[in-house]
Amino acid sequence: MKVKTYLKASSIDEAYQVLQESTENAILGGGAWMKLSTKKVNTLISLDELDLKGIEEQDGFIRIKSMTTLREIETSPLIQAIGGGVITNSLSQIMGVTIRNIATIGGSIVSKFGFSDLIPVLLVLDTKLVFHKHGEISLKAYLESKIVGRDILVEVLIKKCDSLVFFKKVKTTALDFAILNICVGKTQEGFKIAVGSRPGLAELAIQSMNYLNGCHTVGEEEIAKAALMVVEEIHFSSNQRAQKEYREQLAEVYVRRGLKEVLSI
Amino acid sequence: MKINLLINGLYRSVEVEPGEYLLDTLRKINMISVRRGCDNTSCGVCTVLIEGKPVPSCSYLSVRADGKSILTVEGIAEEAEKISSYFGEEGAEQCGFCNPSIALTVYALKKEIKNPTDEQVDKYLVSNLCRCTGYISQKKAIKNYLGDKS
Repeated sequence: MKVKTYLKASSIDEAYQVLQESTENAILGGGAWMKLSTKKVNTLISLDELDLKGIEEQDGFIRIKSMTTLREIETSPLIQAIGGGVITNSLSQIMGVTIRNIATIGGSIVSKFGFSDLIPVLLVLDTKLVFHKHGEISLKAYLESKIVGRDILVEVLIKKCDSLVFFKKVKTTALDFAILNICVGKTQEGFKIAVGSRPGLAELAIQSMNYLNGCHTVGEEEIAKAALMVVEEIHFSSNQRAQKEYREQLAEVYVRRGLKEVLSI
Repeated sequence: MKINLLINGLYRSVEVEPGEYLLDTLRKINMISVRRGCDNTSCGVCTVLIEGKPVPSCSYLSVRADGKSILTVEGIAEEAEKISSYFGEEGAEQCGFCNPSIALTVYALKKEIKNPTDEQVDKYLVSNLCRCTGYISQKKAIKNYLGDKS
């Protein structure tokens, strides 16, 4: 990334205003993957001086401010208590501690990286996002549309979840991006299944989830059918890490294992 | 633009470009114990401590470090010597290229996690690559250092 000027915003309104001035202006999140970008930025806007760090519990939600680092989230007792520690589990598999000390939750979400290990987990946990101007929007709606536009993510709201949530990152080496990410949970809203690193952006397997939520009882047969439905409804493709067919096979196996684990079968 | 860095306890005023990375700035002012390896956050040899936390200086903008405390291996000389002696005892030092960054990461680990398990040590050091030792001797040396209460 080439940067022409750098601005330490003194307020979120100032950051928003400068962001609107040009499409060549950009917000600096954690900056962990800046080197992967070939983009030319006119003004890089830093949010470092703003009060955008911290984690707190409020009204059944965990509120995480957008500039909180992945390491701060991973080591927070409030986060470790969600879904049997599923967020901590997924974050601890992202590169090393050094990267997680700079990468932020806001940057991880707004960048909409297909390789994100965090987004599938947040989809299953029914996460909401709060933007400076747009206000509140579900993570699912944000990922599927461009209605938010050029805005600044302020907070991430994660619903508390006491039940176990399964997460599997398939990768070839400790520091590599995932070949596939699978997250499966049975939350208050019913079964949730998310697939990431398809290699495209993570998405929920809606048809499979609806099928499971419509079943009176879920046993081996229903689990097997739901896993096959995931492969049919989610679009997988090939890249340098894995072939489409391999990803499909992995998805079927890990959705099955995930459902069994959350149902203790 | 001019920034002020507190490097190993001493203030340095440095002229930097807006898109310049801390690794380049530190090497520009002869802090060459901070090594350039992969230059894309994968190998860990450029690790420095910013406000006590290990970060990859190859991917951290210098302007963000303005006014912050930065420790390189020279800033933890006494502890680094101790770590080095444990590495020597276990034959865990070969080419030495990764040693400054590993010493800094181990130092940060000791400060952050009291009595870490072997698994915690492995996870904390996963992004500090060493192409010589195969890690077994390093792990033994690190365990011995972490157990040293002196």
